[in-house]
Amino acid sequence: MNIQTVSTSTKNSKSRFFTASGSASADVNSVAFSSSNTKMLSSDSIESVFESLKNSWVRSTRFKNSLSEINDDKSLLSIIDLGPIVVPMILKDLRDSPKHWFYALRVLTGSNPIKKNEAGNLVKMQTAWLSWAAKKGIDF
Amino acid sequence: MSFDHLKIDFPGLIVEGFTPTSPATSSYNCIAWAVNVQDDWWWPYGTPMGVNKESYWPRHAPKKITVKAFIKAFETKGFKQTDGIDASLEVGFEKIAIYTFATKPTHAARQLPDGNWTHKLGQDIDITASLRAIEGTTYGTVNCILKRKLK
Repeated sequence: MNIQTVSTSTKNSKSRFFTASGSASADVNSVAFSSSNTKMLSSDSIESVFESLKNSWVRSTRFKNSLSEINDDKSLLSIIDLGPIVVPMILKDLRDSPKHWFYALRVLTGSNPIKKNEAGNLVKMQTAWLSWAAKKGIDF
Repeated sequence: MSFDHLKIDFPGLIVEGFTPTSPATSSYNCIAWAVNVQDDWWWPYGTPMGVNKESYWPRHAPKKITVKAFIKAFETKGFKQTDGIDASLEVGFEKIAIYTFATKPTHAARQLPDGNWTHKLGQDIDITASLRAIEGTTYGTVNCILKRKLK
């Protein structure tokens, strides 16, 4: 399945995942495969789509200084459209090769563990999200 | 290591030349680097009245993507806007150049003691190059120059 067939309206996805956020770990574990975007894909396919979109996002935003443009990039929005199933993949990438995944994590989980005085500091924001994942028992 | 990818987005580097000076990192961007910060990403991101959730922006600067707001942000570090675009080396002063594309700030560079300029290219590497070298369709052109006295 190609990338185009799995992406739908990001605006709809944003609101759906925000409203499903009673418990972030519950989102990741139970909402993932019920997402209309991901139910037709095997986990291997999702990983492959995720990798492809991630590489495209990295390539197209490598010279961007604007966080607005990094977060509004169409590949990142397509990753968000895949639904909470990609949260462990994002966390793994954040742990291994820190990037500005924070907006996507906030949208997909409805959580924001970053303290006000940590905003902007990549290492502190990475630590905040990895600690959040450990507390929620998310494996990646 | 090949830096050919830089020359695609910044063809001016082919003519003007450049020196890579750091590995690629997402830890800081050009706005932070312009004021010598290497552990924060400076950008006025978020709702106008809300807090920045994933980037740093000085509290007393408007949270807008305008040249005026960026000047205010640099003023918090002692820089003042100069008249015209004087990119010459002035002994005892440090300068910053703000680039804009379609009136929106896109990039900032800091002058080094030898008169050359250091640029952090988004999430990619730092380079030393002229101001003109990275003008073009990616960052636009230099809009204004700020300066402060060296301590």
